[in-house]
Amino acid sequence: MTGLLLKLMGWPPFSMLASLFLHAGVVALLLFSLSQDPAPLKTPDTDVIKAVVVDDGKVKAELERIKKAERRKQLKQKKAKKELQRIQQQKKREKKKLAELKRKRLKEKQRLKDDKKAASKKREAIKKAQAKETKRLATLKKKRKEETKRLEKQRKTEAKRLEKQRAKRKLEQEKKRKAEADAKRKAQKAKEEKARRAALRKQMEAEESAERQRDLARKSTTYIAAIRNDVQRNWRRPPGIKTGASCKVYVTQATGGTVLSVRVSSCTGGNTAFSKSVEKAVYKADPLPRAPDPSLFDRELVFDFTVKE
Amino acid sequence: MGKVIRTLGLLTIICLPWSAQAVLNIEITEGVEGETPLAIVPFAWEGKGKPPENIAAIISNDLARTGLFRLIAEKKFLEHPHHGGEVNFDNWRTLGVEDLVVGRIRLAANGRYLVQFQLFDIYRKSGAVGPGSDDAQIKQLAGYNLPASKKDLRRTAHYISDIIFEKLTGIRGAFTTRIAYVTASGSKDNKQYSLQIADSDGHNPFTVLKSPEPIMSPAWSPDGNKIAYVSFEGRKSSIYVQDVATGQRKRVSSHKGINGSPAWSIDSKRLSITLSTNGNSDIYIMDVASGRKTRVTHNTAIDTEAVWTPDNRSLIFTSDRSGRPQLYRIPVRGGRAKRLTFEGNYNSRAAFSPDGKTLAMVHGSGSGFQIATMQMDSGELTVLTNGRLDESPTFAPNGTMILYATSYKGKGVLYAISVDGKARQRLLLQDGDVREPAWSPFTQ
Repeated sequence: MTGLLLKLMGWPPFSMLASLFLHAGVVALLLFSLSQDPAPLKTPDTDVIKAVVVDDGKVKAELERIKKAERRKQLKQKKAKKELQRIQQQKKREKKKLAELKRKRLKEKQRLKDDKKAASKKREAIKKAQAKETKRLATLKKKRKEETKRLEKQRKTEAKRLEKQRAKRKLEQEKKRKAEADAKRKAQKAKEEKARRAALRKQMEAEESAERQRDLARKSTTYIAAIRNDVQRNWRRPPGIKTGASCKVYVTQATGGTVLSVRVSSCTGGNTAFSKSVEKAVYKADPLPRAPDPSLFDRELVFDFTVKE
Repeated sequence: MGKVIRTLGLLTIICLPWSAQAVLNIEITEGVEGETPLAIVPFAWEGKGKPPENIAAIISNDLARTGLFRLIAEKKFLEHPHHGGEVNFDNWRTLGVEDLVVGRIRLAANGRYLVQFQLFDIYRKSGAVGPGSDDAQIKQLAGYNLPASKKDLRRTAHYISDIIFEKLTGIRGAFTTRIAYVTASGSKDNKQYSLQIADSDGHNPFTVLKSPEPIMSPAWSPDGNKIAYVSFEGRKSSIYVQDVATGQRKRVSSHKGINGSPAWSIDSKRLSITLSTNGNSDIYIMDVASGRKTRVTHNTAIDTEAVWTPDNRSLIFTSDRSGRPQLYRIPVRGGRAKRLTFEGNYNSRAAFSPDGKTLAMVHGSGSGFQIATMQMDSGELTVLTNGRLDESPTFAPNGTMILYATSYKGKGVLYAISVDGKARQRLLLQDGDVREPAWSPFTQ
């Protein structure tokens, strides 16, 4: 504490302590001398006269001793008188010193009183200021409290508003999300429906196509059989052609089955009559059966004529 | 799923043009064997009086004899066109006719004739169809104007038959070739033998040789200029070679005993003959120009009736060295003879087809003798005839027919049979026995 104070004051600690003790000593001395002042100066006179002899035998020794004592008394008295004088003088100095001290003390007392007063005054001022400050602080606090409250209220309002807004927004978002989800779901559903229908249509088309293919295959079989039948019926094989003789006949036909050209090639095992017979077979069958479906029509036909057993 | 469909669609798209380009392939295996339905319209005679010759009839007979044509009867005809411009092909189509022959005979200068004929394929047509195209021209397979004298008219008809036959079969016609044969006529005490040469249908015969003694085994030289034959003039057998055109002849072999079965080498320079100078019949080869003879067979059995293989290197002959007559082959220079026939107990009188692939023979298996053919590569034997005494087979030079002798109502007659044995026709010749036919080669 002291160190901190010294430190704060920036004074050397030793000189501060010395000054403090000196002041305290002075103050103590002044206070002590002022309280003992009347008694000690009267008491010694009375005590000496009242000391009287009480026994005769002892009186002679006593008288002698008194005589000696008288002499000593005289010497003593002389010494006492001298002492008295010095004491008186000292008393006088002391008195003077005391007066000085008393004046000093008074002065100090006054100063202290002034100081106390000033301090009180100062304390009062401080107190006042403190009160004022407290009041101000209170006001401030109150104000702040109010402000806080207001702010709190505002904040709450704001929060509420925000909350409301948020809720609203959330709701909106939710709504929007829901709407979007709905739309998405709807779109997805529509898409799926569309895909399903498309698939269905495709399937139906495929089935139709397959049916058509089957139909075409049937027609194709019938068609080829009809051509074969017609040509076969018209094939008059010349006598004496051996088994295994064969010819390829390349035929071009018009859409109605009209034979446009016949080319006989790669004949083996036969003769001219044989190759003529296969050419004739095609010409005799002219017009060939009409294709039951345009897709079955082939402009070019190849006939493999073979003599079988 | 969608992808699959798309892929399938794509495949379909890819496949379609491919399948559209694919050519429809149709197999035909069940044709009916049959002759070509042919109509020959009687030729118009554009002169006065009776037509000089029935050309259409000659052609019809020629073609019918081959067994390859079915002649449509005239009474069925819906029209009688005489040239292409008059033909309505649909009329013939209706009759099922495949080919049509029309023609006319016109008088030309100097009493000669002009024979015109056209052969049509009823069904043929060109790629360009339309009213503008000349259908008759497209359908015409052949068409000629043939000048002829009156006596050439039959020959001209055969020539037309040759053209038609070749056009329709691809095989050279042999109707203008001739046949040689021997006739016997007269009573037992007054027999008259004659070597005749006639058209392939037996018409227009002319006599090469007349003799009171038998004439046998006429053989045409492959060049068609000479005929070798056996004549028993003076009651002994001799082999003569006679020039067909001039009638000049030369006796080439007159040994003691048998001089028989002359057959020409392919180059027409040598003859294979049968001689019995050594006691029994053996085969010899004789150089016609020098008359030098070489013995080919050395056997105690009868070896006879040799013919030359088409490579001119071997002979095929009849021998009974196995006990019964069978056919054998032996190199011209001699050597081991190899037996060829094993079916039946009698096989003799070999005759080669012109292509050398088929051998005709007289075949006996217990019930008479028939004409059979054997495939040289497979040895497959086919009996063609069903007579009791069929003999002397001879191939037409185009190999489509075989002429042979047989008896009909106690008389010797000639039959022409198609090589498949399906068509058989008796040649209408003059009275008397007819035997030993020999079909000529193609005339140059």
